[in-house]
Amino acid sequence: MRSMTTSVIRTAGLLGLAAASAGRLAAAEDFNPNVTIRGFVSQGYLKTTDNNFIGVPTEEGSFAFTEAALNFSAEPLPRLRVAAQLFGRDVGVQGNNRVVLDWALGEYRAWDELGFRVGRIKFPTGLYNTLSDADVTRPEIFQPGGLYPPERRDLTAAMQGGGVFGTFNLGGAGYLEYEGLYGTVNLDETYLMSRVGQISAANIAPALSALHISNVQYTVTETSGSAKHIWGAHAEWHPPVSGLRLRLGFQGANPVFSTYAVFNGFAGPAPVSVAVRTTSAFDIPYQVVYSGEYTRGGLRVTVEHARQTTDGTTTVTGLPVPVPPSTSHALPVSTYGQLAYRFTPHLLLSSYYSVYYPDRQDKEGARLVRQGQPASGAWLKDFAFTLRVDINAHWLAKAEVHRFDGTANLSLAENPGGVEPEWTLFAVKTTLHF
Amino acid sequence: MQSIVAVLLAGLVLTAGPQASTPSFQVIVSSANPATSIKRQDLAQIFLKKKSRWTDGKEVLPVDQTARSAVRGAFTKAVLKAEGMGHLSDVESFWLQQVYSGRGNPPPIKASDADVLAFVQANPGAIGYVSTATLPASLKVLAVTE
Repeated sequence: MRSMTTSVIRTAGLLGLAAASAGRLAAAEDFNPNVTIRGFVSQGYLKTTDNNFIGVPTEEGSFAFTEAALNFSAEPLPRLRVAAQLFGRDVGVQGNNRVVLDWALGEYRAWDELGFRVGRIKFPTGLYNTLSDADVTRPEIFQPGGLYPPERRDLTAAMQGGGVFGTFNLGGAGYLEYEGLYGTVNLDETYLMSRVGQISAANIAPALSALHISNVQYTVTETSGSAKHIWGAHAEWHPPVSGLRLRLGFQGANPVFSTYAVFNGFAGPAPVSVAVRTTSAFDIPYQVVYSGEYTRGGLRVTVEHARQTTDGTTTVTGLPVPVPPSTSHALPVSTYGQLAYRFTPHLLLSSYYSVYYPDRQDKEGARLVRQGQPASGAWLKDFAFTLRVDINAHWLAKAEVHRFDGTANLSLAENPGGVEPEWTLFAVKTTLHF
Repeated sequence: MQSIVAVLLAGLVLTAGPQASTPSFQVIVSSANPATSIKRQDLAQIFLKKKSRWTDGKEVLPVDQTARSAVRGAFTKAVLKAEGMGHLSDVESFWLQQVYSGRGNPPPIKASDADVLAFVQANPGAIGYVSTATLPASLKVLAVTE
């Protein structure tokens, strides 16, 4: 009850701050036209025919889908820009309305061809990862899950560090924009780590059964994680064809996840307790993303394709019998195509088809089955359809349906009764923004 | 009845005629600015804040008009359409994306031609657009070329 009260107070505080800032906006424009203050509050409802999704009890239907942000940006001196965004969310077990510094950066544009950014910066995977928290900027509620996975947002949303950016004029060949970033990501106390903790513990439980420990129950007591090195770079070409842009992006990371779990069971009639630490170190040497987008009139056509390599080493300590480190090698791949058409300034329809394989060497899920997991975790095919209505300049509503084949985006811990391979998600969301 | 229709048709012709022949906007800068013309692509990049310098290296300071103004719509269609932003909703969407991704701020917005004139007059590096206002001596019109 106390935490709920705290959450409500925090959300109310954020909204109050947003309202107060909105009041200052007009005044700010009078004496400093380079100050921009924006914000939004979103409330949604999620319902699935089967399976619980992103930590929300969607099978029952849930309103636990709230987001709010307050965004500041200013150009106090020529070439210098500072900006930050406060962000709070309550998406099932994620966020709990805790207001965090979503991103905050300083930017100096020495020349058009070379500028510098430092701080906590939204990570520019593909065309739209930087917009993952801003519902108002997108046609859809949920972005294509292979390239923009909501369940891995903690790792992919933003990083602390710095980078360079710029624009080269190519004369008759249009112009080229680029950006390169390097930094770190702290994953402590994140939803991603809670998922990793559950997966790690679930993978250990069979090993204890093999040691003749029965009725194994476990509790994940501690998780920590980080990516000490994360980098990304892209170049985006705007050729002299109206509305066309083509982008090539690369990124990589070295995330390390550590989980401490306590397992209780019985060795014969005697109760047994085993504390196990699992450390998984991953190397993602590269993810390459090819993107193309064409806009004409109210039509927008987007196609993106991503390929990745992931190598992992997992070390387990604390088991009664020493276990050698295990290694993994996966080749994730994802592709989507999207059509969005704005019929009027108030009405937009969008549809996309997205395909994602966590390991393109195991598209049928044979390896997962050998590990005792459902084969459907080896793929995710998503056909999505969205209706967006901009009721006025400050209020919009969306309704969206996803027909999923596959469960690669689901947590088995959140679906203890098992997962249904074919399922449907209904989502509605409304956003107030200024 | 026929005379009423004839009067209405004549009114339509008279209304449409001047609009078709008169430039719907003019691009203005300080008279101290050495430029006499500007390429459409450069103008688009300035208003999308992808180009921040005049050829002499001085800062460019673009100023927009409100989304409700007809001149903003005309400018958007003529200058930004080739960038895939022929409608105001496209431009607003672009700036929302820039703001919420932390990548940029839109130009300041002024409510009228008179406010734009005052802004450009007060800022030597500024560039704006107005409908058909009479310019003060301290300002000049740039020709827009392809």
